[in-house]
Amino acid sequence: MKKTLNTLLDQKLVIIILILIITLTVQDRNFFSLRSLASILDHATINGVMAAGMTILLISGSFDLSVGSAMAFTGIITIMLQPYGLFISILGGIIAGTMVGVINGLLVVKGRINAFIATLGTMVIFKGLGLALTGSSPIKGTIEAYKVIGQGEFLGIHYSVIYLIVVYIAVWYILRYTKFGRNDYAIGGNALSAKLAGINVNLYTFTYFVFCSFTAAISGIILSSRVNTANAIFGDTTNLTVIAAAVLGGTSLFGGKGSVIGTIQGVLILGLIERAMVVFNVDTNYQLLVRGFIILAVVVTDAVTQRRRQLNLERGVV
Amino acid sequence: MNETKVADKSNIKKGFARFFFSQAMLLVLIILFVAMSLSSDLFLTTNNIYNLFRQVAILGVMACGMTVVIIGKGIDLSAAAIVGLAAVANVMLQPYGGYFLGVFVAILVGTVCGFINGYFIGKVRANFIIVTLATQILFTATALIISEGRNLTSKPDRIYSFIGNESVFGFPVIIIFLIVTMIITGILLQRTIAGRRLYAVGLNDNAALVSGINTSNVIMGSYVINGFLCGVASIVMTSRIPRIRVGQTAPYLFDVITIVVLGGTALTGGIGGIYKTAIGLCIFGIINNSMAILAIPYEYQQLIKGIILILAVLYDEFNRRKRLLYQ
Repeated sequence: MKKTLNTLLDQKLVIIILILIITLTVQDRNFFSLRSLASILDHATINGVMAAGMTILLISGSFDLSVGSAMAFTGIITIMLQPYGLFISILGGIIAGTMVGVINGLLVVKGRINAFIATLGTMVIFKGLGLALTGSSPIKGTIEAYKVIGQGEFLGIHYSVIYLIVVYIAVWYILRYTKFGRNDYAIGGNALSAKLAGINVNLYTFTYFVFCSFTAAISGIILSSRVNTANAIFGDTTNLTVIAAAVLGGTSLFGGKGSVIGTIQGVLILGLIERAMVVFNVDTNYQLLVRGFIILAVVVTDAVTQRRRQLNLERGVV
Repeated sequence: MNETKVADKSNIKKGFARFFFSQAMLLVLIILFVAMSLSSDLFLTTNNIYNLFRQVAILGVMACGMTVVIIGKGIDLSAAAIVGLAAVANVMLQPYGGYFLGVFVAILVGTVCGFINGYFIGKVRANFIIVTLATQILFTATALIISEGRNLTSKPDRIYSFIGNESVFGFPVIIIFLIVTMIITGILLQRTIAGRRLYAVGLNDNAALVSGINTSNVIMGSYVINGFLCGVASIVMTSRIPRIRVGQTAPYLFDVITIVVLGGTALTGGIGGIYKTAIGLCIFGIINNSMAILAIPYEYQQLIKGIILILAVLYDEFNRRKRLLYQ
């Protein structure tokens, strides 16, 4: 009995997801269908892809506030480069978005700046750059074929669901079976030990920053293709949602702990809550309030768990 | 004889280096000031200098609170949202109880918001960045809900707009207000036991804990003071600008952090003070003012401010290494 209870508690996120789905089905009979489940995944794609990259970065003990700006900046560059052809525009966009991570990584590793303030700075700089490039107004795409990436369907399911699944399988594999992934946990657990064990901490931290921005760039491509528009103010609050999704999924802000399987559950829960608030006609201001409460609850739970873990370590009970 | 001379020389060199690295921002300020005075006739006029400080007075009051929090090795990303919420509460209650109720409520709201931050960061030990980002959303949402998203107008008569718009002997009251706030915060940090404890906690909280300081309370206190000063800033704001809108305060946050870091208060905690923040405020004010004189578009102003922040932090780190070298 106790064992069953423990297994249930281990899967508390899955239970929350099921409760949310059941609630939504009761409220809206048409909700429970393959198409609608796919549409939840579809909506979760943009935050979900970034959350996978953020998970890697959080595990190493850093974090990145500039993902939203990187995402919007990618969209802007992609759409502005469209006169030069589809391939070049997408490539240019991804390079531009990834550059944000390169700068973050250099500032943190070479400049020895706190990750928080460095990414806060690049967040403002790239948003400002985006605003300056677009003249503070949204810009529309000119190539029709570009829309296929975000709007294309296969058997009624958007391609974006496929991207989401591919990214998660890839990141799951990387974290579990590659040196790149295992070193991530080592650095996050204790950077000094990792260094003494011969891991090039600086190089790996730099790479994690670049990878995180790379996922933000992919999200930027999907988003700008879906709405066929780029706007510098896209992604103003994305950073917080993405970090919250990862932490909700059990990735610790203190580093060294986490998995993408948890993260995707966090992304789905946040997505379903947003959906539920729309279904139940919650006023947008109250939606904001609920979002704030959820993030606060998540971070407080993380802190309490961490403290309990530390106490247990001190007592010798692991 | 010769040796002592050499030693003297190297001491002077060391002393000069130490002075240069500790007062570099003062030099930057002087250079900026002279450069702007020479390049523009509009800059060095009494009116423009008063205007320069009027523009940054709200930021200055907020920067005092932010300095306190950053010395304790924290940061408050909800500061601008607290100012917004306190201002909304203030203006909405003024019709019912006059200015005294409004002012009282603004300070109360600010302090309570600071306490909420402080409780979760100091007592629960949750990550200060995410906590204050979450409370930023909470406070903004609360302000939107109580104001129903409308623009609010306070009807300041001469009494209430005294702080924001009047002058005493030709000297703007708002600047006096700013200076007094800075002096009080400075005394609090430098001359009281609580202030010195805050430095100890910011420098090394484990060492502070084992030497008998209640670190949780000290950290919580720093956020409460910050909340209080945000309440004060909201009073300055509503007295100066009668029309307020939720979200209007949001850009203040980044400016305030830039001011504090620009002055040389280290984000690693335990180093800095109001004197440094005052220099940071002057530099920021001059840059802000000259960008307005040169008519640089808003987007580019944001870009420039972002780059200044990054440079300031890089310089801060460089400075820390040099300081270690010359100690």
